Amino acid sequence: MTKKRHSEPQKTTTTRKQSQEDPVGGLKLTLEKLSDEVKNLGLVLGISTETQKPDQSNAKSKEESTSGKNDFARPEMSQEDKQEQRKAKAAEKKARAEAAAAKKAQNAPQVAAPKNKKENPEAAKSDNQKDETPPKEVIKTEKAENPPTENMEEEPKEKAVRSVLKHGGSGQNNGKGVHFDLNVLTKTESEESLATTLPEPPVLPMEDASSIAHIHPAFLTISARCERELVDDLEQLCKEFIGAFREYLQEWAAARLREGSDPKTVGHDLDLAIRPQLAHLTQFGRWPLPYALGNIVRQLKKEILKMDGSRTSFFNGEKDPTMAQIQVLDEWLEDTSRTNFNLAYDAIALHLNPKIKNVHSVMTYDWCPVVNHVLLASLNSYPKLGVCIVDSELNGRGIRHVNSLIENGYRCQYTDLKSVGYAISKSSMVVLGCSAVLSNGCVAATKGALQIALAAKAFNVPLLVASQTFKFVDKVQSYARTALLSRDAVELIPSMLVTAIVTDIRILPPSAAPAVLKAKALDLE
Amino acid sequence: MSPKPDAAKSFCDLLESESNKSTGLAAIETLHDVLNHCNATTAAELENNLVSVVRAMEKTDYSSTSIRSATDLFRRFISLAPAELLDQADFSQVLEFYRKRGINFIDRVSRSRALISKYARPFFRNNMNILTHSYSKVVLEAICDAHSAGISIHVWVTESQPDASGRRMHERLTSCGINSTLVLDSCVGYLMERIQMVLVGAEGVMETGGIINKIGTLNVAIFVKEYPLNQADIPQEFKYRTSVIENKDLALEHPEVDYTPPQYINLLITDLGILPPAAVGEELIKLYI
Amino acid sequence: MESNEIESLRRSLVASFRKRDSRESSQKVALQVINYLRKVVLQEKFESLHQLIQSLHRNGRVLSAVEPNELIIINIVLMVSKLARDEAQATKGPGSLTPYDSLYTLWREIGSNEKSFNIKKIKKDLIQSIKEIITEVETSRDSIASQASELINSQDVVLVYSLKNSPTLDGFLASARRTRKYRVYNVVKSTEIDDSPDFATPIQHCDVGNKMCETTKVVLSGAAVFPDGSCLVPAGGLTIALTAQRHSVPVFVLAAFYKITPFFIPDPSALNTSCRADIPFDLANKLSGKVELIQPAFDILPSQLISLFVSNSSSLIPAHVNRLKEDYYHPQDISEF
Repeated sequence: MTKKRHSEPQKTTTTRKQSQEDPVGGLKLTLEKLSDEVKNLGLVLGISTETQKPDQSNAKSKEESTSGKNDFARPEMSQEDKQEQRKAKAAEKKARAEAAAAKKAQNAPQVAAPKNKKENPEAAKSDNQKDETPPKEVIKTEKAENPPTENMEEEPKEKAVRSVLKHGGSGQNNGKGVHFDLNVLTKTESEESLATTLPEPPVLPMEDASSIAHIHPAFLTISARCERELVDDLEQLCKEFIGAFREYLQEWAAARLREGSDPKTVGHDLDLAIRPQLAHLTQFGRWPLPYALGNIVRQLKKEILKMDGSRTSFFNGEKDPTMAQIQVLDEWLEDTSRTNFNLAYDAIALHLNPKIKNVHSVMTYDWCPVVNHVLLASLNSYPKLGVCIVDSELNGRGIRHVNSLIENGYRCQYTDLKSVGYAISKSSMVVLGCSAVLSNGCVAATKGALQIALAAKAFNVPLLVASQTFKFVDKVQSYARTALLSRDAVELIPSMLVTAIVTDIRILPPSAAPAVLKAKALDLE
Repeated sequence: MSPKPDAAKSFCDLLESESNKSTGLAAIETLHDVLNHCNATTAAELENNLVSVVRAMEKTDYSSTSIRSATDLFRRFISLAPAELLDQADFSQVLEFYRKRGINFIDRVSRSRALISKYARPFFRNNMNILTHSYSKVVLEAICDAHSAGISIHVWVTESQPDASGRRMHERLTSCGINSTLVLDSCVGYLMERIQMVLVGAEGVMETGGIINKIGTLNVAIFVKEYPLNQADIPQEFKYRTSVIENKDLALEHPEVDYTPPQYINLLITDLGILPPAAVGEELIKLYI
Repeated sequence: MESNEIESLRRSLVASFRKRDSRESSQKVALQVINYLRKVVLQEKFESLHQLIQSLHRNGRVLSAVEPNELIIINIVLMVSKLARDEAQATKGPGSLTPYDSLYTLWREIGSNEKSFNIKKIKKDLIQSIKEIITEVETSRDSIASQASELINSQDVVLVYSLKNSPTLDGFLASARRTRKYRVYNVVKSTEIDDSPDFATPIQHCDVGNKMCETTKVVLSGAAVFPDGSCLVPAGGLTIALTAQRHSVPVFVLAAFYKITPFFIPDPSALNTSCRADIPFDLANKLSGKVELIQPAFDILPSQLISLFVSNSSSLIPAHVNRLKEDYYHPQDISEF
């Protein structure tokens, strides 16, 4: 199959028209390759490429979905599959880049308008764009020459990719129910993510396919998932990041073993190698990492730099010093993942338990897995506890809380942000999740949380914030910034509106944030 | 010429015999008595008589604020005579007129407590926790009326030292069958989060809309501000004052009353209706024009 | 006692209240009630002032029992009642003690001789006054709008809420737009973003916290105003007002005179109705029986959050609402009703 794949593009390249510049030719080549890959993958998956559009868009989405979902199970995949996926990602990026470039060529306001674009205007625009920009023209002529099937593949692929990008349609990409109408909300269980439809993400800078070819697909996946708003909250992003890094580490370790380099420079080399990957994630500093993730990355870098060949004695049974160090790092990653997530949730729930004992009714805002865990634990201990879930708008992210509560057989109340003025008078405590705690005690939480905090203050209701300690960050900011790699902005809740922060160490007042930083050596050096 | 010691004595007797009577009402009745027995021939003479009686009453131990404002109002009221009547040479007719008005006034004022209870009723809800300070007959009547209408409430009464008048309030409440708890003055802050309404009486209402009441009321009011809830006061109508209180020398004696500024008060429940503190000034203007 | 015609009139009014599926503007409600009352006064026969006032109160009670959440009904009834008393007072002639000469003449009035009133003349004058009130109601929106140019400057950034449901608010902004240029942020639900008018930038409710630092004024439309200076606004107004207080942004509430309620409401949550919730059917199906959806119609703004009430006669601070209420309502009515 590999042979076949390599031969086909060569064949087709020779039949091309010769009078094109190199970048454009390169573009075409890659697109050619991609289309072949897709066809092959389709064959592998048992879907014929000769069927109509819907199936092809399905095929596309299935491919994306399988590549997207199986990031944790990927180390077993073969080299060629990896290449395929890499090319798929590259093509995806390219399609997006083209869309972005085309949009740039068009009016700027059109992009910035905070309206949800429907699929048809999107497709129409893509048609327009094809007419206008030169690269698109090339594709069109290219298409005109190609057999009809490839032609159809290009368009639905682009359309599918773009419309999936813009709509953040929930669930369909996970292969639950694949519909032609990408706008339909499929029924999902509470574990599935339910991304809300948000205004278009900002324009991406144009990238060559070559510039991202060296980025590991794991990181590409994360980046793509974030853009498509498949990543619901910070916790998931952090977990995925750790998972992606571990994968990368394995591959890098394997490569390094083959090279047989000096064990002493493991740390240094890894550090250098990881930089472009991270740079890609942050789009070269355009969208800084969320605070908590930045913490993890900083600690990770510290650990990496410790790998200078002096710790090989720690790991028993592994003869090769390089491998030993890698294993130490891997263990550290696994440990971090466990303590910062699962164990931390339990610890927070434990600390909150005695405080919630006398509480009549709890209110929470928007989705946060920590708060969900805490609520379920509290309801377990005190079944009479009333819960009110506030969402920025009805049928938003907060529905996940409602679903998980219903599944466990509890009753609750659900309302939206504008009813908070009435609902807070019925609550005796507010518990919020957060994405970071700044060193001046301010809490960075989802947009709209500030209004809940003000209402709680006005009605004298205590406000507790549930946060693991890894979210404490040694920075101070007065304005809000983006939370999830180019997604929603966060809001800052000032420390005087927060009664206490419940962490996995203990319950703290917000002014104790620097103490936590010191204790966990999270402060910037 | 005016029976000064007698007036003061009869005033005290009145108050001691009927413990339920308000200080102001007793003062008015005393004045009315004086009016009845007076044989002045000019308005100025009558005025002098009344003033001296008032001064005598003020020297007694009872609340001088109430006495002063009640008697002020009484004197104002009875002298609201049409102009032509005053021109008459025969002062006895004027006196007759004054006496009749006096009876009307007393009649009206004795009904005021019932009116206040009526206005205050909608503010009581079932299972409310109400905080009150010291002993106020008006508050007592309002709460008892609400209780007999079937609303179940729990009343927290502060002791209000130095004379422990809160204790008297507590006894009266329990004798009416109302759930009541006597608490220390100092634990008001501790209690505040479980209280839904604070109800106090007032010895006097200033022009600013602030009230004068037993010492410790200001403390309670400030706590109320911190824990947002409802503070309503129940003064009687004739307790409006038109002057600011003089400062006693605090180094030598414990003040018995304090002044609570209007920003700490939500509503004043009077027999004129329910007023926000800002409306007091307007009502006063209407009184005296 | 009551003619069939009055019966049928009342029935049709009640039916019109019950039939409508979404609430029309307050002005329409006020006009409907006042027209009904005018017909009552016109057609019924009264022997005395007392009877007239009794009849008005009776009608008012029936109507407000039908729609307990429409405070405007009671307001209008009491306004007409005050007009009646005023007319009666006027016929008594000047020179006698006016009701506010002294507080105590209030109770003296009850005992006074009512037979001396010429009821026909009172009726005629009352109808005239009612017509004047009708005109006032109809022009209230314009009078409020005319104050816009004094309250909104150029370079102002104004945040409004529930613009769609309030023609008064719309008129207010339009009037200011005629003479000066300013920016408007309109807080809407995400589904209504496309419906927002051109001059306003739509923002979501959760964005208010971030946008408040740029805002210079907040304008809300009021549903009812209470004498202590607090008011009812559409749900969502409280959090906006709290955020505005935090950033020291003045909050203006537009309320025509017929929204000023003479009563203090001891338990505001009792009169808060619930609205429909906008969720899709399958979600509603899943949640039914297990989840309670809280959707109040109103929020109560305490008086300290409000900078100014803009009413048709004048603008006033919350502390002065009590005084304005006395222009429109008679204290005897308030205590009796």
